[in-house]
Amino acid sequence: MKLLRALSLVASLIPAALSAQGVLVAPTGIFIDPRTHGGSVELYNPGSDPVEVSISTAFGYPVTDSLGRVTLHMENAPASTVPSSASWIDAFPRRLVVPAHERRTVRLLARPPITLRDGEYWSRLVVEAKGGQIALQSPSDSMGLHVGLTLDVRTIVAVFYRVGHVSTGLTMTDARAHVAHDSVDVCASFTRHGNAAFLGALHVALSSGARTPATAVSVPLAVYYALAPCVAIPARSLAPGRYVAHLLVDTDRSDLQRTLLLPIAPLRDSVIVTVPSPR
Amino acid sequence: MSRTSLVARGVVTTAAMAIAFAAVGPSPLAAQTGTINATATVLQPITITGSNDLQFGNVFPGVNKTVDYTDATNAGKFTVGGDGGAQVAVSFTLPTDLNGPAGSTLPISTWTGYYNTTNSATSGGASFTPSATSFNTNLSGTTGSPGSLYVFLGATVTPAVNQTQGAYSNTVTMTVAYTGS
Amino acid sequence: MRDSRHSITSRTLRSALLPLMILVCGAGSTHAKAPTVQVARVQDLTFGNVFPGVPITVPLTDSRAGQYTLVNGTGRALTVQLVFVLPSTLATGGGALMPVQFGPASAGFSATGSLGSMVPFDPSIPFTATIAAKTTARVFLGGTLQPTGGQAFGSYTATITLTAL
Repeated sequence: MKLLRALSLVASLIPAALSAQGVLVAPTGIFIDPRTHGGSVELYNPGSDPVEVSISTAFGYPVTDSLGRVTLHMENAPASTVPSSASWIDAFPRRLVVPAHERRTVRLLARPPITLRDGEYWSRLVVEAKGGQIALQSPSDSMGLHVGLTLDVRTIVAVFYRVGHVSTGLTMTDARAHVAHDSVDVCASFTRHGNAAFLGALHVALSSGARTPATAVSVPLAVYYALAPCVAIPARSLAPGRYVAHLLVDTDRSDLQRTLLLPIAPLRDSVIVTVPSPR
Repeated sequence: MSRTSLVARGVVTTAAMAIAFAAVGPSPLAAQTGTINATATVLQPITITGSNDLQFGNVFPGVNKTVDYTDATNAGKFTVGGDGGAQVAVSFTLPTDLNGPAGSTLPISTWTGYYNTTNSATSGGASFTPSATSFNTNLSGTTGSPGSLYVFLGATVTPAVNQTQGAYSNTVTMTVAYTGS
Repeated sequence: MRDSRHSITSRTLRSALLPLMILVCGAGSTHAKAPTVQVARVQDLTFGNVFPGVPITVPLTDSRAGQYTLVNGTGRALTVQLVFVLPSTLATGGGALMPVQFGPASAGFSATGSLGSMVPFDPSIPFTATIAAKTTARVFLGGTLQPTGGQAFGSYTATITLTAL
């Protein structure tokens, strides 16, 4: 009984779970050139409590694993040979508090080395948002424990610094498709040319000879060096039979400012895949 | 040129001038117009929110307690919003201990997770083991429309029999990297 | 001869009509010097960067508010009606639309041009303003954008016209 009283006292002193904490970051790709020498990122706090935000830069780019899954490869100490801008792009301020339902602008200032060659230099902006710490208090005579964890969020977006003549190109090889569980995985390998990352989209359509594709999927594609992604197309609704997977790569991206996309001629390929009858 | 046409031309010209002047003459002011533009740029954002803290509530010394990711009240929950179909890599920084009074610690382990493009921790998504190694997925929908992703977290705390009484807490950080650019 | 006669006839008719013209539009001669208020653009109404689903308001006192000048170059005070033609949406070149709203205090008139002396008014209703002799007044305009959660990304614009009658 004493234990129950103590625990109920603990409970009465514990505030309700904190309301949602987080931050909106925009845009997801920031482009800077020597003319502006800087850019900006907008933060908005959609929650009802202030959010403490810290900003940092790091070097990283998307890569794929052996299963064709895209992840972000980060390097804490990039070699001098890689086109990293992480060490000379600064955020102002680096720490700030965004009040509830308010927005703040963080300026990015580039201080590139004067010997910079033409090309594109990459970094990632890391925006970490901390909500209020969970308040757990208990009286000294409590016989129990009270346990909770707060959730912080970290958002990573791309920063591109372009100087002089920049160009990109892409080679698509090794297009292939196979049935995996309840999906058709369509994969291809990409190698980037030029001195800038390729930013575009990979469109995959499965057709069985009919005029309209049986199903189609589009995913963003960002190739910095090489990438071998697989796109999973749900196959549950596909009738068993022979399909042609059509792959198309272009620079059709509605989420990025068109004028900042470096165009290439569309790449196409197709492969055959057979969807088996259910066992 | 005929006389008639000459006369007519002169009369019509003069009359037209008179009518034109008469039409505008009584107005004390001539209308003046100025034009400005209203402009805006809609940016493509990504929003990550810790929607629900991971709450173990009251725990007894010597008695392990698990919060499953399906626990709608106590499971940790993150929400990601952005462009439909956006590709993200998700990873976690997870504590191995919670910090309590006077430097005491409480072990936490057996992390479990579930992600879904709808707000459900039971169906339609996929379970995963939260770790520093990222998994990649896409937000719901297609580009140009709003997309979302929900991530649910559970774990187990293992208090010792002689665990110091008091409050224990720590922080879970979810990292979402936008890999589409 | 025919030409001369024609010329005389023409001159006669014009002479006869001239007094009528002057009589009818006596103000016509003064019209050329009619007192006018010159309306000119100072700056656009700039909402800046906007997030889908997050409304944004530019107050009329904000540095991003739209601004016009009203110049009375005459030697006497002039009273004018200020009439806005307001858009209901901003649009992209691709045809995407974003609602914009103007409230009962979204516009402001300043007889002296300073924010301190500004009188708010509803830009959807004609507003009567008096501008002192040899004075430049200002009109300010704020507004609220209501982007939807699925608002298409890109640059949006719309035209706002102010007429002084």
